[in-house]
Amino acid sequence: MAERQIMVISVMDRDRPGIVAEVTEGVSALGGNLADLRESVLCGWFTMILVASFPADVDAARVEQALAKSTSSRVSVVPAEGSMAETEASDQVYVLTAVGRDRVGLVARVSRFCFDRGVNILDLASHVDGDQYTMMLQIDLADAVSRGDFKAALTRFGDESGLKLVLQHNDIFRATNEI
Amino acid sequence: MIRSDQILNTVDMIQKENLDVRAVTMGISLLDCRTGDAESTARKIEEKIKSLAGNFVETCDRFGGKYGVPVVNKRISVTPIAHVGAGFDRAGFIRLAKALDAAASAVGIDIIGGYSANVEKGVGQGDLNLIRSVPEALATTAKVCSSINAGSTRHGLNMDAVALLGQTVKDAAEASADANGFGAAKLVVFANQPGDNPFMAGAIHGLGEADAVINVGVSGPGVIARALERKIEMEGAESLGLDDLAEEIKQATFRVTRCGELIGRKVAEALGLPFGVVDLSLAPTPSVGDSVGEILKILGVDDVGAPGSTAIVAMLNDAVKKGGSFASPSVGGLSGAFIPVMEDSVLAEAAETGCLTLEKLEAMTCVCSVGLDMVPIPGDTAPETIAALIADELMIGVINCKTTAARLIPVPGKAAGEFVSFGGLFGASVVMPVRNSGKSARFVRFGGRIPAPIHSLKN
Repeated sequence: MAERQIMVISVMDRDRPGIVAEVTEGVSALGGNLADLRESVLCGWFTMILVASFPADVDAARVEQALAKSTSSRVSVVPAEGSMAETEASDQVYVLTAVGRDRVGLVARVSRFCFDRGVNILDLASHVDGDQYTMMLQIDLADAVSRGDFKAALTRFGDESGLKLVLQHNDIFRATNEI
Repeated sequence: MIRSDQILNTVDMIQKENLDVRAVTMGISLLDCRTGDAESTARKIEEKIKSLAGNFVETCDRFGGKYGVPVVNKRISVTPIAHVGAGFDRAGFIRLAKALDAAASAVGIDIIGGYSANVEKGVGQGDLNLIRSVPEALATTAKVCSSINAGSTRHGLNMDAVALLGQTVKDAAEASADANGFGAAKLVVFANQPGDNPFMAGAIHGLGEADAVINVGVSGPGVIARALERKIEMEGAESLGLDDLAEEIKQATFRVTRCGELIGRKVAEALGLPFGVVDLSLAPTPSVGDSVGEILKILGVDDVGAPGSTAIVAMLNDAVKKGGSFASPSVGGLSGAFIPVMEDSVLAEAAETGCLTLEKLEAMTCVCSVGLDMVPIPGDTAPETIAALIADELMIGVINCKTTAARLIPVPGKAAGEFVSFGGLFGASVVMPVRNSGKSARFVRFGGRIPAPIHSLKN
C-alpha cells in the first residue's frame, strides 16, 4: 500500500443534526480512511476530533478546503507526525476523583498538581450537581514520582484545597464495572 | 472513556465501605515431605513452606498497596497432616505441628491451617494419633489451626469420632486454660469439609489439589452493610421491598468479588502459582461496622436472634452467592455468610443480652455457613454434651448436603454470662449458656455411625 498521510481533524459548532455525516462524507470523498473518532456535546456545543489517513497526494490544506465546502462547521486540520500505532498502556493507570464546592480554578489546580509531579492526564470528565463539582481524571503514574509519594502529596493537596480526592487503580474500576 | 456514575459508585465502595480482601491463602501440598521419621519430615516441611511462601506476604502487600485494597490476612493451608504423618506416634505429630508453626513465623503469615484429619467413615491409627496430639499441639504453638472432618453426606456421621472430638475440644480448652481455653478456638469439627477453603480455622489443602495454589476469601460484611444503608437512605425504607435489598446485596457482592479475584490472580501470577478459588463468604471481624449481625439489623430485626433472623440470613447468604458466582468463573471454598459469635460484635452483644441463644444460632446455621462458630460455652460442660452439640450441627450439614462445623470453646473456670476475650480477630463475648446440659450422654455413648442419608445414593 502506498504511503498515506495521517491527519488530525477537529470540528466545532453549535450542536445540530448532520455534522458527523457532513464531515465524514467529506473525508471519504477524498479517499480518507478513519482511524479513530470521538465526539462530545457540552452545554449545546458540538465538538469532534478524528484521525484519518489520506492518499499521499492529499495535503492538509486540501482537506481543510474540501471540508469547509461540505460543512458549515469550523474545521481545522493538522498533519500528524509519526505512525498511528496505539501507545502501549502502562499498568500504572489510575482513576482520580476530586469532589468539592464549585469555584473558579479547580481544574487548573488539580491539573497543575498532576503536571508538577510528572503525572499525565489521559482522560478527564466533570460533573456538576448543584454547587458540587466532581472531576474524574484517568491518569498515568508511569513517569511520576513514586506512587507512595504521589499518594502522600495527594493527601496534603486534599487538605489544602478542601477537595475530597480518591485514587483508585484503573484495573479495580474496570473489574468492578465490566460484566 | 470514563463514565462518571460508574466511577462514583466505586469511589463510594472504596472510601466509605472499607473494601479489603479478607484472606489470601496459599495452599501447599506436603505429601512429598514425608520421610521415614518425624524429625526429617518436619525439616522438609519447613523447607518447602519457606521456599514456596518466602515472598508471599510481601507480594500480597505489594498488590494490596498498588490497588488500594489491603489484604487483611495472609495464610497458608497444607495437606491434612494425618496423611503426612501416618505411622508417626503422638510425639511425632507434635514435632510436625512445631515445624508448621516455625515455618509460619518464618514467612510472616498470620495463621497456618491443616493440622487435620478426615475421619468421616473411620478413624485410622494416624488420625487417632493426630487427634490425641491436638490439645498439646494447639497449646504449644501460636499459629497452627486444626480441623477434623467427622461426617459427610456421602458417608454419614462418624459418632465414634464425634465422641472422641467432644473430649478433644474439652482437652484443647483445658490445655490452654491460662489463655481462657484459646486452644479450642483453633480447633473446628466439620461435616462436608471443602479442600479449598481459604478461611481459618478450617483451611486445608485437599488431596485433590495441585502442588500449590492461591485461594482468596473476599471482603467482609461492612461493604454490604454500607451499600444497604445507602440504598435505604437514598430511596426510603417505605419504597423498598426485600427483593430490592437482596438485589443490592447481589450487586455489592459482585463488585467486591471482582476486586478480590483481581488481587488474588495478580498474587498468584507474581508467585508463579495457579489461582484456585474465590470464596464468597462474608467473614466478620470484631471491628465495629464489620458485622453480619449489623446486616440483620439493617434488614429489619431489632436484635439478632429475634424471629425473622433465620429468614434474613437465608436471603443474605443466597444473594451473596448469586452476586459472587456471576462475578467469578472460579467460586469455591465455603461461600456463605459466617456467624461466629465472638468475632462479630453485634452477635456478641446479642449473646450478652440473651436475645441470641444457642438454639437460634443453630437454626441460623441451617441456611448459611459455617456453623456454631466461635461460641464460648461454660467450662464445666460435659464432653458428651459438647459431642452432642457437634453431632446436631454436623447432621444439619450431612442431611442438607452442605458444609457445617462446630468451633465451641468450653472456657475453663467460666460460667454462662461471664466475659471472655481472646483479643484481635478472635474477638470477645460472654459465655453462652448451654441449656439441657448433661442430658445427652446415653446418645453419645452408643457410638457407631449415623448412616448416610438416602440422597447419598446418587449413582
